Amino acid sequence: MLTRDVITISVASLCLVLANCGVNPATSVASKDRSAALTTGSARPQFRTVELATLAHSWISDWTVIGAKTEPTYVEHVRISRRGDRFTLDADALGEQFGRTELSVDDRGRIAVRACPRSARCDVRPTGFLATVQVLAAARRGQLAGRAPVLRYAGRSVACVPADLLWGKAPMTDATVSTMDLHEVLDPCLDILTGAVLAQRSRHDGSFAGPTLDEGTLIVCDLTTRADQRNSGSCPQAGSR
Amino acid sequence: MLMRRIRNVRFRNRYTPLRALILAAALAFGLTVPLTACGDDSGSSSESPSGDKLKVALLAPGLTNDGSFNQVAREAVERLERDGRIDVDIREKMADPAAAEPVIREYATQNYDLIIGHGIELVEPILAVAKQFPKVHFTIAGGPDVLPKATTNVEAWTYDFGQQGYLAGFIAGQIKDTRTVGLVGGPQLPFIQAIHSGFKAGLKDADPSRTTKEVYTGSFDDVQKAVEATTGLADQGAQLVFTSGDGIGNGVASAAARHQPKVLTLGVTGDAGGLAKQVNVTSVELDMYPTFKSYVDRVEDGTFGGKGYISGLVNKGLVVTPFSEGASDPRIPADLQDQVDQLIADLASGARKLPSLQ
Repeated sequence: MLTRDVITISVASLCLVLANCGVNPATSVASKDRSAALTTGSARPQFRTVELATLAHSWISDWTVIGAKTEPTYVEHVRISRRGDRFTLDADALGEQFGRTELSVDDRGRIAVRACPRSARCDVRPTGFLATVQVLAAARRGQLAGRAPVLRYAGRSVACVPADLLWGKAPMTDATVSTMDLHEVLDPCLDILTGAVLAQRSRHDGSFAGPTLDEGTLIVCDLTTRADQRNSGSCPQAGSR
Repeated sequence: MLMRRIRNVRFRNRYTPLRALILAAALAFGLTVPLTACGDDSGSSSESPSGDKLKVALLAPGLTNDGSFNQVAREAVERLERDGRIDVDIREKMADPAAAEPVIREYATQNYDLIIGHGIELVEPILAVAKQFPKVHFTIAGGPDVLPKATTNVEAWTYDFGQQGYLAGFIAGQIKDTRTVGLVGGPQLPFIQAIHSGFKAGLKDADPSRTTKEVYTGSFDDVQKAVEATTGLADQGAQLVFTSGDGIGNGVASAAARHQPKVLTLGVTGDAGGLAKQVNVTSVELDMYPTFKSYVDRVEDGTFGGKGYISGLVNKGLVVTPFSEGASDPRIPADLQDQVDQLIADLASGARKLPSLQ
């Protein structure tokens, strides 16, 4: 019987991050299901936070995340991959392929569009499931300052990045659109180990909403270790897309 | 709910790794072995647990409390169970075809009357197992291309994208003081374009004087682009915005709520962080009960098999969600639900015909 939830902690990559957010790495690796979001005696929950630039530099660089986003009338299948500095997003719904979006980010934090589906509009300000690229690029440019709360989603630790740190009041790409805040909707929640966007958190009520991968379908493949490839037939081989 | 969970646990307990190993070994030698012969102490699999009720298994790719595609299937089988028509087992997280196939096979081996695969992920494993169990009834689900895959013991299901859009467009045409209607879509995929074509047809039937402006964001997942698109449409005069892209609905609702004057929306699913009740009139969504009931009817009367079933307006497989608080907006007529009901009745009686929605 296949193991559906592939969760492997890369100790080396996590130690830096967890130490930075005040967690004892040894304890956390040993008890990976322990919630990182803690409450105190106050009425408002106090989340642990992580320093974003450190987090971005700690991510492993060879992974694939497979999941589904369920909607009222269909299910969108999503596959996000990172191979080094290249990120790809493939999706389909109702048997229709959306095509592949591929972005790269260089050492100076410059983003390039390598592939864009015919029906899509790709730009160098990636959002949605490719928000990881924006975070990494900002970190490499030295322009990513701030911390993010660490929450639990689908049994994993995720850092929910305040969207205004990433996009702020960005100029519109469409001249007909008035200037407005873009950030008061959803914050992308990035897997601590990989940086993959697993969920989005509503600014209005704190719920995981919108483009969020259904926790019942989520598979995270760490291709930097052989163990994961043995654990799930759904994970690709290292080096493949 | 509690009863179903207990049954699920019982079923899962029967499917132990040891038994999976035995089954795998048996298959390797070309044998089929009923798992009930492997020390199951829960009774004969051929015995109906409750007399004449059909034994039904529902397989869902995700969690059936998702408020979305998987949940509508669970609600339908629960209603059939309340009707006293079926006993049901629900299996969640069946998105991996390789993992789903042995589960389907086990239900078939246990002589379940009907095995419902509610998701395109389950098409291939169900078709593979169905060939080996000709007396068991199976269903598959997907887009229109799934319909020709029906066989003598397999029926196929999809829904009518054009009619989904038509009903939303008809409703848009009833809302007052909205001369310009915006449409926000995700990627320009054929099924999304079909929904938009249906919307325009419904709007035209309801009020030919309305004009539309349309934007595709190119993504189901980019909420920021949906905010931009909706704001742009509102700035261009749209007083009502329809969205066909569920994942971007949060962006549509957010932009609509912030715009001055407030813009109404159609098609925002879920509560969009509490915003939907402020701006969204309604959405057209699936009701799987008529579909599943028709399966049960045909299994019982011996006519099941080889058919495609399309959820639409007349068979009430596509329905409007309850009007939200946003429906208290003075632009929304008090008799909107009555008008929707009349439309469906007229279509059912033939008094009104749908236009071509190709």
